[in-house]
Amino acid sequence: MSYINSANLFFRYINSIEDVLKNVNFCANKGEITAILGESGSGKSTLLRILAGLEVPQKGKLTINDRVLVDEEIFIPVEKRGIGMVFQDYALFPHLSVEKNVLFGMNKKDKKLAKKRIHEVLDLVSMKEFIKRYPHELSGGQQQRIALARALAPRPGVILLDEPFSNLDANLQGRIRNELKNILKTSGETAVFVSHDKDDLEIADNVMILYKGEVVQTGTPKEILESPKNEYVRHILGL
Amino acid sequence: MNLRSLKRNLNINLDSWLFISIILSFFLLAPIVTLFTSLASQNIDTFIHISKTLLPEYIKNSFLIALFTGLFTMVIGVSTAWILTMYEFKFSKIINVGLILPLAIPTYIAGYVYSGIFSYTGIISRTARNIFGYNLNLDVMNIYGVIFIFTFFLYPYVFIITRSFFAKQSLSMLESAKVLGKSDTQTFFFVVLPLARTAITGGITLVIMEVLSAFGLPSYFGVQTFSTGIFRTWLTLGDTDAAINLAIILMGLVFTIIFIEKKSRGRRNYSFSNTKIRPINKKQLSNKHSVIAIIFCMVPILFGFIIPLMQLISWTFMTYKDFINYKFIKVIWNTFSIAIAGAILTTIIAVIISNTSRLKKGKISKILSKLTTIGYSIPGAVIAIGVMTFFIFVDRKIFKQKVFYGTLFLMVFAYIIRYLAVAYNSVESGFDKIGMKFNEASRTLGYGKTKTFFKVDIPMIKGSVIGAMILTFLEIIKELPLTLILRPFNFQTLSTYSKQYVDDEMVQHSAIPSIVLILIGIIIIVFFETINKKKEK
Amino acid sequence: MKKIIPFIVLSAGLLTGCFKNKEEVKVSSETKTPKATKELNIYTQRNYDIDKELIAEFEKETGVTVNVSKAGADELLKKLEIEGKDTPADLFITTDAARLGRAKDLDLLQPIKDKEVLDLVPANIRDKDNYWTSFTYRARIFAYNKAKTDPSVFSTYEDLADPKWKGKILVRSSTNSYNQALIASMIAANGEESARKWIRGLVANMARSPKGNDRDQSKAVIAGIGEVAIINTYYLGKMIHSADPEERKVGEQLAIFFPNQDGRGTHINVSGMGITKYSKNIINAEKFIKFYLNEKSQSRFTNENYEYPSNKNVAVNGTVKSWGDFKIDDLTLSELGKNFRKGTIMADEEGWK
Repeated sequence: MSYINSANLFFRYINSIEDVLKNVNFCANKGEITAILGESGSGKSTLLRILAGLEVPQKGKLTINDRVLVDEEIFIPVEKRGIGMVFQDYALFPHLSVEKNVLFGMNKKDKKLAKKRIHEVLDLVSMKEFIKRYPHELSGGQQQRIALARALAPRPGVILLDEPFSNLDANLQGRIRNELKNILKTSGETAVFVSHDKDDLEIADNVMILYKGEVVQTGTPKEILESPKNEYVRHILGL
Repeated sequence: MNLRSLKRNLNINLDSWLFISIILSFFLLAPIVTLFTSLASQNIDTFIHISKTLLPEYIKNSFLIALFTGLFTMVIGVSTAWILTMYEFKFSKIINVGLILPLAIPTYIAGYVYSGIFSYTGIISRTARNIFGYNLNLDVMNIYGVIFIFTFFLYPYVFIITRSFFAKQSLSMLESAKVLGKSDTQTFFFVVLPLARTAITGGITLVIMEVLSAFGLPSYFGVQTFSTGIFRTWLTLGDTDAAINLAIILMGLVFTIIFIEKKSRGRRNYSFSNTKIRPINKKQLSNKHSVIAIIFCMVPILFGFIIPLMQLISWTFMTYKDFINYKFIKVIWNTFSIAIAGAILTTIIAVIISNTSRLKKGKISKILSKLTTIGYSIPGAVIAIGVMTFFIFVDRKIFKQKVFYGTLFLMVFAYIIRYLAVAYNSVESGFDKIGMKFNEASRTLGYGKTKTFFKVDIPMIKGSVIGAMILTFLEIIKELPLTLILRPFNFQTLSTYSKQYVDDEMVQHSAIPSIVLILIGIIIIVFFETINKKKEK
Repeated sequence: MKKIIPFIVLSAGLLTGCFKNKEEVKVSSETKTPKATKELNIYTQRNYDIDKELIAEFEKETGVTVNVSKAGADELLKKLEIEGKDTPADLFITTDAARLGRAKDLDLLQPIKDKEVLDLVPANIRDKDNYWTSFTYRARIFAYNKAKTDPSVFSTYEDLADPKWKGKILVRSSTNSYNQALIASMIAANGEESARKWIRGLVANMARSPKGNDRDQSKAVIAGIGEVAIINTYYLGKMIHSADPEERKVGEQLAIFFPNQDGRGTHINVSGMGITKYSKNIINAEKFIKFYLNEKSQSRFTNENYEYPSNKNVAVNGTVKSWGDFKIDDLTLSELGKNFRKGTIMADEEGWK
């Protein structure tokens, strides 16, 4: 049984006629990096938000680490899921310093332990010197690293990333990709990220391809590149 | 969807936020509903009389006033906003603040002042007669005068909103227009104006709502409008039902306008794109152009602020001795404290309902936000009647003794109903600007809705919250008809005190309470502007 | 956000303070004999400087605290109506007999029992059943430019509808109570049909669409816009003694004509008061009425505010005396209350704006 497991997910926006997600079965293994790939409008960000608990699927079931988060009767709210998320534009709290941002989601009862953890996680993302700065003083790439540190600090177990590379300069992307992979692997988190760029496949252990809200193909990057199922998949992969 | 899912969804949505919001809405609506229940016992004779004789006049006048005021305020507000956004010239900073100052002067006071200026014994006629020997009789107390005053004292609404919108425009948008060969003027008309449509419409809607519910000015100038008609029908003809009918028609009109405005906005709201916004670099004007810009911008400031202020100051010198007493200080204190209490409470309620609205994604949130705007479209007098009737009922049936009636509570309550929309708009735009992502980020980090509200949302919309309090405060100190009806014994505010003198045909004496009122308004406005400037840094 | 907390505390304090500030009026059971109390609550339409001073004097003399709620007469009537027996008001004071009549018709007043008071005021300027009494009165007269017009052209109100006055008449809006009372008196004197025709004729003769107040009409006469203005007598007094030199100039150029002297007399209206039906301070209310009607107060009304005193023992002097004696319309003022709403509707229908 995979770590993250979802079955038969259906989702549509209120007052909308069309389903944004249809019968989606998603799984991700523990400690692995899973990519959700698709063109814009394919529903990939929505799927991510459903995993986070920011949207309520009309139908379907979601389990993480054998704990039921969503089914017909149950809906565990966001704050109780213990899932970390890095937003597309980072969403760092502008009125708080880097230190306070990273501290935000952590258990503050043991101050010493919390401080230790902050340093640990800032070190992990190579941003230790910026601890007293404020978000508006940082560049895009730096903000992203802080956002990552903030999400990692409480040791959530699952990390979701929404288009982590789309805002970055093209020539940096390759380096950032590898850095991210290292950070995620080091922290041992199970990560899911959403992308529309085939180059991001390099760091994924598993891939799911979405088209108009439906799962078109799943597998390891190698499998998918070798045998793309249809024209759309080929197009997405740039083949 | 089956029953179990329904139950699950209900659990998700029914939380303390929704609960409190619904209770607040109930109390805010109750007085208005009370009014409508009296519709049950309808005697339509008076209403028929009105429909035949006065209603066509009310409709015609209200329509003309709204139309032309809307048009003129749009021209003045948008043009000045554009000039101040795009160009740098000497005195532009002062002019920027000056253009808002007319808001400090209530329209009815402007009416007293201008009618005084143009009256037979006023400065213009007097000068013409005594110096030039010319018998000049300029009559301003007609529909043209009303439009003139509404235009020059309400255009700041359009100015402020449009200016705020322009300030957030990305430089790149304007530059691409330039690259495509468009001149400044062309860029303005073909790129900026269409984009600013929603902001401009929003500003004009505010102006029109203010115009439709205004009572003091049209009444004094003898122009029959819905508002004056409602008062007259209710009081002189003694027919509450007919008055309510008129109020309903008025509300219908206002709702139609609001509806049209929202439709024209479409899916779009005021939120701005996520791409990096490069602020506009103001262009320095040449000396010749600077002079033109200054003169152009000074016109509204002259008519909307300088002239009335000068006349008021001259009257003040005539009458100040009558005001050096404890009573006047008490009047000032009354005005101040009531407005602060009202502003704070209104803002708190606005924040609660606005947050609930943005957290919930269904019909409920739409309904809630619409409900809050109801009060603004109802004339203050009508709200006063409703509140009074409602609390008499409550006192009689529930407490069996006088608890609420006759206290300041009624007045503050009525202010909240009337001005919730003002605070709500400010708070809502604050929420719109930050969007949901910070809220969501906080929740992924383990904080529930309420904790997130206090730790993240409120600190981030601090400016809008203060803005809401300031705007509401300003509206309350200027308010007249509602205050007149609901105030307890011996309770005067600066606005009622001023009106009293006008009623007693001692217009010059109305200057001092008016000036103090305006001064408070100016201080508030300047304060508001400085906060805004700080925010932008 | 720490600053918010004191604000919240402040507003909470203000609100609870609100509850303390209200008048402590308990709905006690009705007793037969009125108790002596320390308070008097007035709903009044007029609160000129002279009224403020008289009230302060009354408070000093009697030790009674007077609470004043000033608003338009119609508003006060509405309030009294809605409040019913929970009203805190003891006295209802207006500048219009029609409104007092209406208050009586709505069963909001109780008769004045003090014989002394009733004796001071002639029967034609108090309610025939003593539900209210006037304390001053004034006439609604024609004001004209003494240098340009010969008063022999004037005769009656009815005459103003004659086409010979076309473009010459200046009068304020029919929404004003002074004109509503005048129309009501026309209905009472000549019947509805006649009154309607009269309004029609008057409107056709107006120099301009009604605007401004009585003083504005006088100023317009001097400015040459019209020939005759219909105004209340005290305004002429106020203009002549105005602090504004321009107004004084206007006042000095005007003269008064009392219409209908050969017939029923000139229309008058009053400032008057009645005790509310559910008054809780009846003794103080009666004291107040007596105070307003005593010779000292009455002299002040005529000397300082140019009104005619209701107290039959007080003579006019100064400016008011200079206008001369006149025959008062013998119509009982009590009749005005019945007709003024009809009159208002008629005015709307015939276009008197």
